[in-house]
Amino acid sequence: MPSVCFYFKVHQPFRLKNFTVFDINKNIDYFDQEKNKFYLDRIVKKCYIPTLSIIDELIKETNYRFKASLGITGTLIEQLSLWHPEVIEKLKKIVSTGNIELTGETYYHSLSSIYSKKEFELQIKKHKKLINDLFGQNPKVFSNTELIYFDELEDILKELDFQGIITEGVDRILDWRSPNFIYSSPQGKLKILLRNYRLSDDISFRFSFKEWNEWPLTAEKFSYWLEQFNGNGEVINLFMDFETFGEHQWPETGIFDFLINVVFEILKIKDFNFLTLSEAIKTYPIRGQFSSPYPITWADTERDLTAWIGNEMQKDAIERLYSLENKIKSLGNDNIIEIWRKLQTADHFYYMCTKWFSDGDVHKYFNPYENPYVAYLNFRNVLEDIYLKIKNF
Amino acid sequence: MKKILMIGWELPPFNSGGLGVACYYIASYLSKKTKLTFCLPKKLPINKVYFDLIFAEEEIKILKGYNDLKKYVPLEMFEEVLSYGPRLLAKIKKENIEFEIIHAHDWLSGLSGVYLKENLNKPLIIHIHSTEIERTGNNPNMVIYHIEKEILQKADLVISVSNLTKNIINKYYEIPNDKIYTLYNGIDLNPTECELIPYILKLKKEKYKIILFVGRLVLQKGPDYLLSTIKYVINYYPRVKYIFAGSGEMLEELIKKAYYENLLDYVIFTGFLRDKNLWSLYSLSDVLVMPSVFDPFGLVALEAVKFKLPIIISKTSGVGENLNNCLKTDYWDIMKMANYIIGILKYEPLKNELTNNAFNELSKFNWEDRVNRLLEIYQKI
Repeated sequence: MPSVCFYFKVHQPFRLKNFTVFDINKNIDYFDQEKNKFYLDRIVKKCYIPTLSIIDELIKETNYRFKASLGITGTLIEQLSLWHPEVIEKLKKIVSTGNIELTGETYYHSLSSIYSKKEFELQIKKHKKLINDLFGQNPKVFSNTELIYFDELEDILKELDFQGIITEGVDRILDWRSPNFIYSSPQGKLKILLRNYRLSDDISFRFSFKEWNEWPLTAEKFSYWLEQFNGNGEVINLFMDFETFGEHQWPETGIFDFLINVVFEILKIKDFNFLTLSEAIKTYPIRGQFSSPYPITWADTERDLTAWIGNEMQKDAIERLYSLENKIKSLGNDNIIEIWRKLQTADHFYYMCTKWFSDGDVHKYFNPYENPYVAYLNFRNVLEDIYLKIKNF
Repeated sequence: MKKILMIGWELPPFNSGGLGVACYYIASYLSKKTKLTFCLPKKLPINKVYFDLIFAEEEIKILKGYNDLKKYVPLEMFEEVLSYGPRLLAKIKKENIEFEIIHAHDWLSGLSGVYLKENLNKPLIIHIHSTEIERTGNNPNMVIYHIEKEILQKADLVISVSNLTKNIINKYYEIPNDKIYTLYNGIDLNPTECELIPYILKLKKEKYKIILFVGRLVLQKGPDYLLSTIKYVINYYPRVKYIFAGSGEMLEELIKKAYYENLLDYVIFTGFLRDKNLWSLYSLSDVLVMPSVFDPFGLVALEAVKFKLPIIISKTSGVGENLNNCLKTDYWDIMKMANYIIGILKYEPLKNELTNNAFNELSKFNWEDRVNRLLEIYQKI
């Protein structure tokens, strides 16, 4: 009896102000609240409100058979609390149905799992507390920033009481094996759920792509594809950004109708159901081992970290940031520590990505910068200011 | 392949700017693919070209109405422009030169293109490297403007060096967009020999940072905006020299401005440089700034990239449409320009990523491809 697991990553960063060399050492705030509110207003209106309403109705109209999991970052929740508390209320409402599971995340959507184990743990704990306080849930499945996974994580996450982790069903690791089963980490401390990237990307990337030979994608067609896994798959993991609905795919593409219809179509298939992530790892047995000594992600075709730490600017910026850890923590000033953590948000480094930039194909989604160089210069100027702040402390 | 008669105005080393350079490379690469005859208005001792070159006949035949026009256009070259067509026609007849398409560059050669089209009934392509509107900041000499307008309207097809210029041609000369094709210039990717200038080399050894401007010292190229960044940059880098390589009518103004602001220690005016000397400046500098108020293309940006120099260009430069790995600013945004200059001097990774990625992007500008694109455009006629 195959189960479909929907997981949506819900995140927004705190974007920086335009910060020039002339702003250094002038005691200017770093974060551009106006810009952040502008982006948030837009995404709330275009995506969060309509999609959460649909999810709410789907749960009721399917008689509580529709289930999904959400990974909501701390930086987003802070912004929602500031400017759109109604979205938090909406989230609370759908979580209270019992059909929505919230995953563990790094509070700041950071790359701390790569750069500082101490910081990584701390951010997970901080996020756990936030989710517990707001929604009364204790996350059992972990979803790292950009679904980063590497074997070392299993010890840390096990200690933090996680039972499973989600990551990308990377072909070069799976080889001939299918992503549609539960795997375990090498020491068996974690169960691993793997994203079925073909089916996930059919929705998140290709849905409105008219040159795609399967366009237009209908709910009937998609559920027919899922049905083909009956008998040779147990969990079909559809993991994507929440912004897929209404933002990456505009309402005019029919994405909202698709979401509604596909849920009903899937429920029509004999033996199919929806499960949350922790239900899935409880329901199905481990069918194999999944191991990667090096970090994998769900990004690009390389499925690695090169979109964040691929070039010299990105490495310089992030290494400088993390090298401040001890110094900053020793100051005991919560304000500076908080700023330092908000600077860890992966988006800052993503904006500096130069892959494909020569072709004019920018990683430009909600990107406040005109090019990766300006993104680096801005971030680097902020770091310079922080150096001086610390020195004068 | 159709036989081409290409009407030019200048060729290196007898060139005043990018037009002659672009013509030289277009003609060189095109002549490998089709029969090409390149024309110049007068005989010059040009050797080492690998295409057929002819010079218009010497004897001057005044066009009707020329004496009236002369009052309004105080240009000595005007006589040459106006007589170019008849003199060229005489040469073509004398040497029995065959061709099927006329390809003329800018208004200087464009007028003779029209003359030949009307006398020989051949299709005409006008290739625009800059317009009077752009050269004068929309304060055109009306006679030149009307000549441009007439030749553009009489052309069967127009080629523009950028979309920026294409928009000007469309808007100010009322040429429909579907008649205009954009063809970006290219750059010679072969290694070039440098001849180091001892004084600059000395500055470099004394750890001066060098900020480079290359271009005519005229309003259109915006050297004054770059000069205005000095007072901000020296607060961070007191050991800095701004080198302005070029000549032009703004020289005096720039020197005065530097004098009054007490910045003479920071500026060097080299005058017009070419080839080995110019290449050496690129190779010794830390950043090139091209603050053009309006630049239809902006070849110096590509030359700098070739020498692995990070570049800052104005948003009103055509080259930026096809070159992504550079910093772009409005020409009037002095603080942003200064921020970028200091950023490049200060942060090594920024400089390295800019130069390496831009260098890799140069393959988009190889002349072979540019000329293949030109051949496609010829098919449209």
